[in-house]
Amino acid sequence: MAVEALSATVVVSNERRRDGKWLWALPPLLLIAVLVVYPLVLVAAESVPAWGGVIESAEFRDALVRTVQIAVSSTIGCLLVGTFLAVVISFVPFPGARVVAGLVDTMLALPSFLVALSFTFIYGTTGILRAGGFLTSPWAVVLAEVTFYTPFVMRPLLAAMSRLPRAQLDVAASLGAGPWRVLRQIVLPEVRPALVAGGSLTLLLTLNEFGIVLFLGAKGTTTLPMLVHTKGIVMFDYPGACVIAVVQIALSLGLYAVLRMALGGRRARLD
Amino acid sequence: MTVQLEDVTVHFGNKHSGRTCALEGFDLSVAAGETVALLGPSGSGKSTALKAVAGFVRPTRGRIRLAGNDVTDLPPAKRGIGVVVQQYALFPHLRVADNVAFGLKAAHKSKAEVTRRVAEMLEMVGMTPYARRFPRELSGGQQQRVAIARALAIQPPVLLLDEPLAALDAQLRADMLGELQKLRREVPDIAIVYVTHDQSEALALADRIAVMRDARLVDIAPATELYAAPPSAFTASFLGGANLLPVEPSGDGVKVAGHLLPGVKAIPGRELLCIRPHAVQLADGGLPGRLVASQWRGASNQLTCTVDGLTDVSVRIDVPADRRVPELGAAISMVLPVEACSLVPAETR
Amino acid sequence: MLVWTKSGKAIVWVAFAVVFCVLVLAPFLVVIAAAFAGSWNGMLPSDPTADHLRQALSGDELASLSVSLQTAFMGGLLAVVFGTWGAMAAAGTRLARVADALHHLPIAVPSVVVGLGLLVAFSRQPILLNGTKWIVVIAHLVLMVAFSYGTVAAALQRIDPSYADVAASLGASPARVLWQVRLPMLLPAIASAAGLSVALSMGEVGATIMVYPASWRTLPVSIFALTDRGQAFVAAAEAVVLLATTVVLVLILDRLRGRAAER
Repeated sequence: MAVEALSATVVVSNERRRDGKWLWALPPLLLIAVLVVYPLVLVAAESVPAWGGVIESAEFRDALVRTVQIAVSSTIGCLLVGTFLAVVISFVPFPGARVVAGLVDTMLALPSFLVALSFTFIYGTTGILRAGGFLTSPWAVVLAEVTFYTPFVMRPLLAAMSRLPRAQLDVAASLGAGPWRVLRQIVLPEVRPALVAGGSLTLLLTLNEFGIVLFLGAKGTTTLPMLVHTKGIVMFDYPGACVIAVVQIALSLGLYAVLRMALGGRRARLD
Repeated sequence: MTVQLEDVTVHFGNKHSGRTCALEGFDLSVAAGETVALLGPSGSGKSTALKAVAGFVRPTRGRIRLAGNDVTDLPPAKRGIGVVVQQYALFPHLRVADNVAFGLKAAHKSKAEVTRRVAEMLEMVGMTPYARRFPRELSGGQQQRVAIARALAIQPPVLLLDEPLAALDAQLRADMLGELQKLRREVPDIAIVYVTHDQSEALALADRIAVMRDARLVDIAPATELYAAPPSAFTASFLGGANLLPVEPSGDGVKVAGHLLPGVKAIPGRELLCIRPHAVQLADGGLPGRLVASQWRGASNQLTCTVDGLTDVSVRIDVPADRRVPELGAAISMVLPVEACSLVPAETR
Repeated sequence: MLVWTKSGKAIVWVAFAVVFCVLVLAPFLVVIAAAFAGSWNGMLPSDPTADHLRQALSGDELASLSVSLQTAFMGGLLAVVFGTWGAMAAAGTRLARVADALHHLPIAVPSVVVGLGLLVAFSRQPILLNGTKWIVVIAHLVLMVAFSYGTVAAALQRIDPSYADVAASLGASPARVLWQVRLPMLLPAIASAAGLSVALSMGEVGATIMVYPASWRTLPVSIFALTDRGQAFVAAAEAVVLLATTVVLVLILDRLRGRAAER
């Protein structure tokens, strides 16, 4: 009797909680709506009169192409370097490998412009390598972004690799496969979801990257976020900045949505 | 000898984290066509011994030979040994046929040969209809067959099986035990090393059993010999769960709790009497004791009894289910037939 | 596991050390070295000095540090509150997907665009904030809320909901369940969200540079101003101040998290 009464109240309170619960989610959502959605809507509205002029301009087209070029090159670089580092930490471990993995985690929280700042000393006209021309080329931005975003690829990879049973690598080796074959045919296929996740996040973040480009400040490497800043703050051309912002949002969100969908589909197939 | 281990010792860790000894001075040789079971509780070093043969761990000391060649410093890929691990480690992204083909492709066999050999292997383990499936679509028993087919596809001279039945439930385990016996007849020339903690698997499959404990080899002998006359107390209790009773010499014979056992000859240095639970009989004129617990096991009852005059020792007796079980607490008399008794040395530690 | 021979391992490790040091570690070390160098005209920095650091800790630059700390605490901690609230309230309701998408928006959009949006939206009625420090705080709040939400939402997925059900079945009111069961179990995640928020806020540059008034210059903005004027060494010193402050803050929050996890 008592037990039945108890379970009855549990059910009742559960239902009540379920009914009213979503109301609690409204205040934080309202906050985001006012502070993010509303401003973005205004940006879109503000941009309307300036579209023709900006889209036609060579400045805009160059920046668009540069942004995509830099983001794609950086992402490829991050994937190569990040995969190599993660494979070594996971499968050819050395004393201190865990410290290195921890260091990688810390780097995620550091500001990206530090890397650009250090490049002034390494590649600057009076620096270690005195590669003056390099610092103003897009390749400096790519190298800086590879440096900074490699940890973003490594983190999901390290997690996925730690879940990969060591016995699979052992068995593959016992069947006569050398390290290269094991890597290509066992490790990489099995961590592919993590590779795709890390790579797409990196692509998104490098498309949006601002600090590195700002600090390197090279003439030939104006990207879209940089152009938003120049137009908005330096030239006070709000409508022009808004147009570029809208294009950038479309690019980022479009890519984000496509990747999430692609990833979601893959995950569904894998499960 | 197909496989030979000489004084193989494996230490893990380093000066900072502290060393653990996983295997100490291990000697073993396995002939072609022979099945040797490494039997022991967890942490006894049996899996480490197998990993050393496969090349997954590098011995700190000692040599490993395959068909007379020293392979101690060879990586696993150069040894050509077939390995089946506990959870099978099938490659989840490869279909059954591709799993079996993996080793053949690594050896750059021709396409035709790969196809032929894969078909042959799948046929042997009865998995031909499942060739296009992914491992996750298979049951535990089916996964195990694929793992065996994959290991045998490379035609290894040695097959290592690491607790191959541990991941299966009881009924399936019994079935797969039969399958493994059949498999043994299919590949008569291969040396098999079978690691298990389950004595019934070892007894069913092995020609010889190596009993292991605390990183060391305790006893090794043909299975029947080891069961009938265990050389040590540990082997006696681990293999077949024998009762061990302290004895004191009395003239030529021995006494248990002051009770003379007719016919059993005293042997110096062997202070424990070993007898299997099914060999003890409830009959008049035996060792006096009391029944303290009884468990019904279907075909039999297992009784736990104390012995008058002995503390800390109990005797387990298997009684067929059709016999009447005495009341709990009742006085009983246990007869220990001389042909079922053997003497073993007491534990040294 | 993967490489079995000693020589193979040695080659891989050397390659790892080179790639890791040159590509990942060197930039951070170079900034630290430069902070203490009088000049750097060869392979190694020369004329060790603490002048840059002294400069970075005086006058306007010190004020920047204080501004950054205040911004990080106000923006970051508010972000943790709202992020936690959002994640806990939305979990398991029909709003979960909407909440997820909305909270990811500030990460998916470039921070410069977030800044531009705030600038456009709050330079006009009904809310006039342009030119005040609040627009900077709001920018940080908006960006960090996304990270806090993500951290707490991930932790929520790992916590068995039956704890809360059991507490409720024992007669605890929803408020009691929240304070004594759900929040304490989330404390490690909340502390790590706080650490992440504070750290990211200390280094935020994209949105800040769009909205900051002259009276409210954060550290990264000052550092940029210094590099722009060619004072790279002082900039490096100030970057070291930023790094050190961030590390100390994160370590303190990590301590709290450790304590929360022990309970």
